This record gives sequence, structure tokens and C-alpha cells, in this order.
Amino acid sequence: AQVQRGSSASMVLILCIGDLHIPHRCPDLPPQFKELLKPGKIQSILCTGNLCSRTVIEYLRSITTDVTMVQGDFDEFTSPERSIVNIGDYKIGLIHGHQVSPFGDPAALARLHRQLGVDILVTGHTHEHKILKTEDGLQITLGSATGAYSTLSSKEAVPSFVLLDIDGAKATVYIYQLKDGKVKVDRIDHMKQAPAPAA
Amino acid sequence: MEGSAFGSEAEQERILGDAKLAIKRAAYSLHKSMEEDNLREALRFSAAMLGELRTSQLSPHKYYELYMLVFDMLVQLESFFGDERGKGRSYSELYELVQHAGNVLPRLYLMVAVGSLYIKSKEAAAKDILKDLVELCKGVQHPTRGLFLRAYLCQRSRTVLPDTGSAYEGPGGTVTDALDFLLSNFVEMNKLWVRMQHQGSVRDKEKREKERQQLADLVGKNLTYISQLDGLGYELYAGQVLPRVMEQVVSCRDDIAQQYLFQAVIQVFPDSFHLGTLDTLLGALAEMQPGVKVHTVVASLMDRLARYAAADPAVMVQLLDMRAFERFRDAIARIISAQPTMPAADAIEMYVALMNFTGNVHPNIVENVNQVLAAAHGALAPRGLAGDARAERALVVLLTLPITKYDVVTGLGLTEYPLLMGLLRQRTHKELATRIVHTVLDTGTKITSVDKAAMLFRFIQPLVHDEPIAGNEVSAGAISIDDLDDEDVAGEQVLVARLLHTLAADQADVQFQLLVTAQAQLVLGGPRRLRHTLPALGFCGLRLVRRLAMAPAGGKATEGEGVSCESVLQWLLGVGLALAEVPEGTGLGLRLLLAGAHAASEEAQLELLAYEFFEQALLLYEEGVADQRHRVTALHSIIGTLHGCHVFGPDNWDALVQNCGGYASRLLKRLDQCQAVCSCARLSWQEAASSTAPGLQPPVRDASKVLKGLGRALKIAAAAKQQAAAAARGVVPYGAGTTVAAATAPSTSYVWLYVEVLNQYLAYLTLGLEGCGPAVVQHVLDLVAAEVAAPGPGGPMDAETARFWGATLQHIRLQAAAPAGDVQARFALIKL
Repeated sequence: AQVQRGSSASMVLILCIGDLHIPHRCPDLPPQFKELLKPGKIQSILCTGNLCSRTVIEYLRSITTDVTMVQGDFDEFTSPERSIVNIGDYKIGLIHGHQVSPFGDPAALARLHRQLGVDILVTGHTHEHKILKTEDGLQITLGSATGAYSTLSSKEAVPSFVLLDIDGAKATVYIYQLKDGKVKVDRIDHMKQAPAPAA
Repeated sequence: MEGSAFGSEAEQERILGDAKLAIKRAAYSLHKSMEEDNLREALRFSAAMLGELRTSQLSPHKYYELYMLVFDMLVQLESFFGDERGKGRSYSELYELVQHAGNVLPRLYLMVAVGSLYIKSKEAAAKDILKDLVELCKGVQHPTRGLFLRAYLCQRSRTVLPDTGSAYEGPGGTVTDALDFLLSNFVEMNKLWVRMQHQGSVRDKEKREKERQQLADLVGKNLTYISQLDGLGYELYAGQVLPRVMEQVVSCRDDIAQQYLFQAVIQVFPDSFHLGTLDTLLGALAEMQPGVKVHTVVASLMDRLARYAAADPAVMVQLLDMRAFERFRDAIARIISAQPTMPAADAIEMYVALMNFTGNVHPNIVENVNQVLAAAHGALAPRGLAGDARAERALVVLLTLPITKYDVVTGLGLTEYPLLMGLLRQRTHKELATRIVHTVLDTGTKITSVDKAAMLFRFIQPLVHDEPIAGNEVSAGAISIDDLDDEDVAGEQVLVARLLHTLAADQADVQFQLLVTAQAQLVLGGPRRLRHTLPALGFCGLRLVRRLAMAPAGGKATEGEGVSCESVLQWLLGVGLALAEVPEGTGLGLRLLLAGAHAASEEAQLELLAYEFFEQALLLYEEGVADQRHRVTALHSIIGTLHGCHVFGPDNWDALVQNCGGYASRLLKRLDQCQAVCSCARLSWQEAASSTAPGLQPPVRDASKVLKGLGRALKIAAAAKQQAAAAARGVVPYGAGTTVAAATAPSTSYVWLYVEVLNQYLAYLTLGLEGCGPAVVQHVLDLVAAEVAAPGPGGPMDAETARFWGATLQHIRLQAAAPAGDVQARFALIKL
């Protein structure tokens, strides 16, 4: 079901995170990230799945109780396949990404974007973060929060997550990456476009 | 009088009250006579006052009250005596005079009072008077009376001892005389104190013993004064003091006295003395009564010496030279075997102290820690802990010390550790094992050798499997996995799985051995545990494959390195299949096989092995995945993985693609069929491989097969339409109303399928696929537009589909309106 979060006037900070793969591929989240993700700052969590054990759900819920999760291909529990969340003026679609072929293909994701009819599409699976401004809105592909091994890329994965700061029609995307033990933050500003004229 | 019971509490209060009154009266008269300077009267009244101390009817506690009252008066009497000399009376005369008192107890008190003044005046040799007094006091053998009399003697003589450097040395005697005096008084006092236990009735023995304990310091004062003698050197201490004190301590055979005095000796005499007399002390400890808490005595001795050593490096060397650790270790063993009834917790506390001792004194000798563990195991294993909660707690304390004191890798060298751990009840054992795992994880420790890995698994054994530890009997209260619910199993095994990532050898072949070692242990844990641990084990294997593939040898086994990508992948295949066998492991097993397939293809370029992985994954899909939703997502994973594989020659490729196509069209729901068939079509248009390895094929690019696939997808949409028409003829309208489509699920309308396939065509138009130009796309667009426009069998199109259709048209418009280019040109030709 669709859920409305945050009135359009107030600012809402949303953690977008996924592909932790604990304990399958990584023992834990990097301590630097754990330090950042203390309870109290984040209102909502959108999780693209592959946590993979239940104990990680408990961890996410300790940050904030408002957690929306979708099914990853390695999750040891069941979640919805996809989810749509309304925050501020935004409709955000959430799906893990192993359902589209080729994995992580921008065109395939754009198709999904149109199907869901959302302003922001958040996916994961590739373990390489990529943020595109497309005709459909923002296409956010999350990296792995733990920098977990992935068969899809032979590059050493960089641990990353995204914070979405939504203020009405304004969205700011903060990309947190862990490089050489240091947290690096990039930022992308986005304004919601006027709705497309009806066909 | 010994053995007689005291009266009731009320009766004693009355006797005490009467005695106090009598003392106050006598004291009043005494006061008066002193003011009048009447010595004779003063002596008479003081004898009367002191006579009240002759009672045997008061418990030591009440007697003490009486004594304190008298003591205050004695202080005044002493100063009165002190003034007598000025009046021409010598102390020898006074000393003589007080002996005329009729009763022995008042007489002795007065003699003591005068005696110290006598010594002070130097009219007589200190040693003679002291010897006289200490001997005469033997005349009072009643425990309470005698003890307090001698306490007074001890207190009064303190300042007039012929100690080295004191004013009373020389003609007055030597430090030996001072020692003789204090030691004799000590021995006599202790005897009286010990005999005090026989006073009163058996009924209130406990209360009496408590009272007796409160008098300990009266006896201990003698030892304190001995320790304060300036003339007391080590020789004198070791030759005279300690042997006589210890002889008394051992021979008195009394729990309270032994406990107190042993502690007192350790506390009051300097640590440097203890270093030299360690054997005497330890030897005496083994001879203590069973009721004595020897463990606290040994522990405090070790603690003191450790602190002493910490302040002085020379002492540390000395302790090492004298093999103090070994002596303590052996003494503890002797004590335990001499006291078979000693509680296990007490025995363990001694080992805790020994562990602390070696940790502080010899922090670098890790072998000592192992020896403590071995000794503790040797002492405890025969009797076991038998569920004794206090012993359990003590053992956890003992076992926690090495983990906190040393790094984990060093800790893993402690071969005796797991054996001792095995004595804990399984619940406690598990808690400790959990703590060890957390320590390993939190410290970022890497396990680099097979020995260490094997050891680690021994340390955390109860988390891994239910087999008993070799060398131990089955531990008490063993819980098997059958007693745990799924949540508990998951909690424990997630921890074990996390631990697997700490296995990290420098050499690839050793790394492989580490994984095989881990696997052998995990398998013992049974299917319910394996479900949680095998995925992690599998991915450790995949990381090793990548490491080998990136190595100069390119994943082939080289001389000396017995491991190759192929051997690891073969092993991984087994892990994946084993995972698929465990309850609820099918989905994860299938995914692990797919990951293996991708690695076999892209990283190892092993076509047949990659095929084998796919074959097994497909078999699992066919036979093991029953749930429709899981079938859909599993098939997407299979197709998506295959799309990224470039190792296959045409025959193998076609076989796999055809199988996928078959499964796609056999999915239950039309929507799922349609989407899966579209994904299969995409298999014939591959991206380039990310590596340029020689074993890889160029990407598959077959436009006609893609279009054939899309045509099949259109047929599925048409079939959905017919199905909807059939349903509409029935009672329930198909796809009617907007309430059917939940926002998060795709629309159930067949029109949705048409729009979806149109989007596929548009994607290929963007790609510039041969045979999928504007004309072909226009044809499909018109077809779909007609379906959208026509009132369908289920009524008007639902809102979700309408929105999707609108978004699709908008996409075409935006692409056509984009800056000029190939893609824009193709889209510009589409008419809406």
C-alpha cells in the first residue's frame, strides 16, 4: 500500500540503504557508517533488500522504527517485491533490481520507473552507486552499504549509502562513500518537475 | 568456669548494669582518694574497681564494655602513680606495694600499670619487668579475663620495649627481648582467644563466634607491634618471628584464628620478607583447617607480591628467579588435594589470583596462562562443577581474563582453554563462546593459519555443533539444537557466519584449507545451522576464486600452490548443492549456484563448469521451487545471470536460453509470462563482457531472435485479452474497476501487457536494433493504441494502466523532442 510520510512543508531525512549482505558476504557495517547512523537524525529508512539476516532488520529498526523494505534475492526472510512511499511532494518507488534484465541497465530501470509512475526510483543489486537525472525523474541505484563482494563487478566495491533530504518539491541527495577509511560525501540537488500533461 | 552458659540477654544486661554501677562508685571514691593524695585508699578502691572485671557471667561483647569503663579510670590512675615518684617513693616500692592486692586479677592490672612506669624510670631493666609480667599473667587462664588483661599489658608495654635505638635498649635488653615478650604474649593471647569458643552454650555458638571474631585485633596488635620494631630485620623475622607465629597458627587448629592470623601476617609484614619466606607460608597454608578460606589468603599473598613487583623491576626478576609462579601453582594444587571438601568456586578463585599474578608479573610468558588453565582443568575435571552457579561464575571470570589480557590470536595458542571451557554448562559455555566471537570481530582479528582456525572452532564449539569436546566427558546439562527455536539458531549462526569472514590467509592454498577446515566443522552442526552458515562459506569461496583469477597465474594451479579456480569452484558447487538440501535452503542454494556460474564464466572462463552450475540451478528451479512468487523471481535471477555470461559456445548457450524460454512461458500468470519472455528476448542481445579474457566469446547479438521473442510476448498479451473476454462472460468481471490494482502491484489488465511490450520495442528503438526501426515500432504502437482505445471485455481501462500508457507516450514525445541525434531522429518518425 502507498504510505504518506512527512507533510510537504516539513523537511524529512531519509536513509536509502541496501545490499548489506550480512553475514553472507560481510561481517558487519563499517564502523564509520555505524557512527553516522545513530538514532535520532533519520526519520525513515528505505531499504532495497539483501540485508540478508533478520538481525540486520533489528539494527535498521534501532535507527528509526519507520523502515520500508523490499525483497532482495539473498534475503532470508520475506518482504514485498516492490513498494511505493510518498514523502513530501515525492512518490518514491523501491525495488531491489534483480528483477530487471540486464541488471542495472538504465533503460530497463527507466521502463520500471514509468511502470511504477514514481518521481524517484531507488534500486540496488549492482553494488555500484549511480544517480541519474532522467526524463522520468531521479534514478538512484544504491551501492552496497558494506562494500560487499559482487559477482557483477570485479572492482572492489566501495561501501556507500544515500541520505535523501526532502523539503516539499526540493530533494537533496547526499551520497556517503567510504574510501580509504574516510567518509566522503557528495551532493546532488533536484527539483521536482511540473507534472507531465495528460496524454 | 569454662563451658558454662551465659545468662539470658536480660540477665546479662542486669549483671552489666550492676557491675557498671559498682565500678562508678569505686571510681568516685578512687577519684576522691587521689585528690586527697591518699595512696593506700587509692589502691584499695582501684582494687575494688578492678575486681568487677573478675566476672565470668558476661559474654565477651559485654565484658568489653566493662573493660573500656575501667580502662578510662586506669589512665587517670597511671598518671597518679606517675606523680608518686616526685614524692620520694620509688617505683620498685610501688611495684611491691600493688602486689598486696588481695585478688590476682586486680593485682596484675595494677602491676602492669606500675610496671611500665617502672621501666620508664629505668630503675629496673625493661626485659626483667616485661618477662615478669608476661609470666605472671599466666595466672589468669579464664579466656575473656586473660585476653583483656594481656591486651592491657600489650598496650601499656608498647612504648617501653627495648627495641633497637630505643631508650630502653642496652642494660634494659635488646630487640630479642622485645620480640620474646611480644611473641610470648601473642602465643598466650591466641590460646585464650581460641579457647573462648568453648564458653557459653552450644545453642548460640554462631553469635559467640561472631563476637570472638570481633576480638581478633586484640591478638593481632602483638603482630603489628612486632612489625613496627626498628630492630626487626629479615634474619630475625625469618629465623625467630615467622617460625614461632606459624607454629602457633598451625597448632591452634582453629578456623577463625588461622584465617585471621594468616591474613595479618601477610598484611603487617613487609613484602620483601614474604619473598624470602614464601615456602614457609605456602607450606603452612596446606596445613590449615578445612574451614579456613585458604583461597583468599593465597590470593591476597599473590596480589600483594604482584603489586610489589609492579613497583620495582628488580622484584620482578627476583620472582622469576625464585620461580614464584611455579611455587604458587604447586602450592595451590597441594591445597586443593589437602582439602577435598573445598568448594570449586574457592579453588577457581585461587587460579584467578594466579592468572592475575602471572599476568602482572610475567605478562610476556603466555605459556604460564596455559599452565594456569591446565592446572585448573586438572583440579576441576575430576569433580566437575555439577551446576554450581558460584563456581560457574568464577570459571567465567577465569576464562575471561586471557581474552581481555591478550589479543585473540595469542589467546588461540592456549591449547588448554577449550578443555576448561568444556566444564561450563552449555548455556554458560555458549555465552563465553559468543563473547569470544565478538572479541574476534570487534578487534578485526584475521585468522591466518589452519591451526588457528581449528583452535578457534574448538573455542566456540557449542555455537558450531553439539559434539562433546575431545578430552572431556559430555558436559552437564547439554542442550542440543533440538531444544532451540529457529530464532535462537539464527542468532547464533549469524555470528558464526560473520566469523567466517575473518579467515584470511596470505596464501591462496592455505585460504582454501581454511575454508575446508571450517566446512568440516560446520557440517557437524546439522542442516538447521548450515542454512545460515553455508551462504557465507560459499561467498568466502567466491572471493577466493576472484583472488586466484586476478593472480598472475590467472587462476590456474601453479607449482606448489595446489589450488586453482577450478578446484575452488568444484568445491563451491558442492557447497551450493548442500545448501539447497537444507530446510528452506533451496532459494539461497539456487542463488549461490548462480553466483558460482557467473564466476565460472566471467572470472575463470570454465565453460563446462559454468554450464554445470546453470544445469544444477535449473534443476533446482524445476524441482525445488514451488511457490509461484519465488518461481518468478528465481527465473529473473537465472535470466539476469545468464545475460551476463560470455563463456558459452553457441550450442550450450542455445540450450540454456531455450530452457529459460520454456520456463518463462510456463509461468502461471500472463503478466509474469510476458515479462519473463521479454527478459529472455533480451538474452539474444548481450552487452560486451567486462573482461577481455581469451576464454570469452563475443557478446551474442541476434536481432531476429530478439524480435521473435517480442512477438511471443505480444501473443501472450493477446492470450490475456482472450482470457479476460472469457472471464467477462462469467460472473466476475475481469479487471473491472480500479480497486483491483493495488498501487504496489502491477495492473492485472491485459492492456498493461500490451503497453509493457511496447516499452520493450521502444528500448530496442533506442538501441538501434536491426529490424526494429520506426516502421516496426509504429506498427506495434498502432496495435497497442487500438487496444487502449477499444472498450475491452472487462470494461474501461484501469487508472494504473492509463497512467502507464500516458507515461509511455510522454517518453516518445520527449525522445522526439530531444536535441538532434540518431535516437531522436528515429523517435521523431513515430506518429502518435
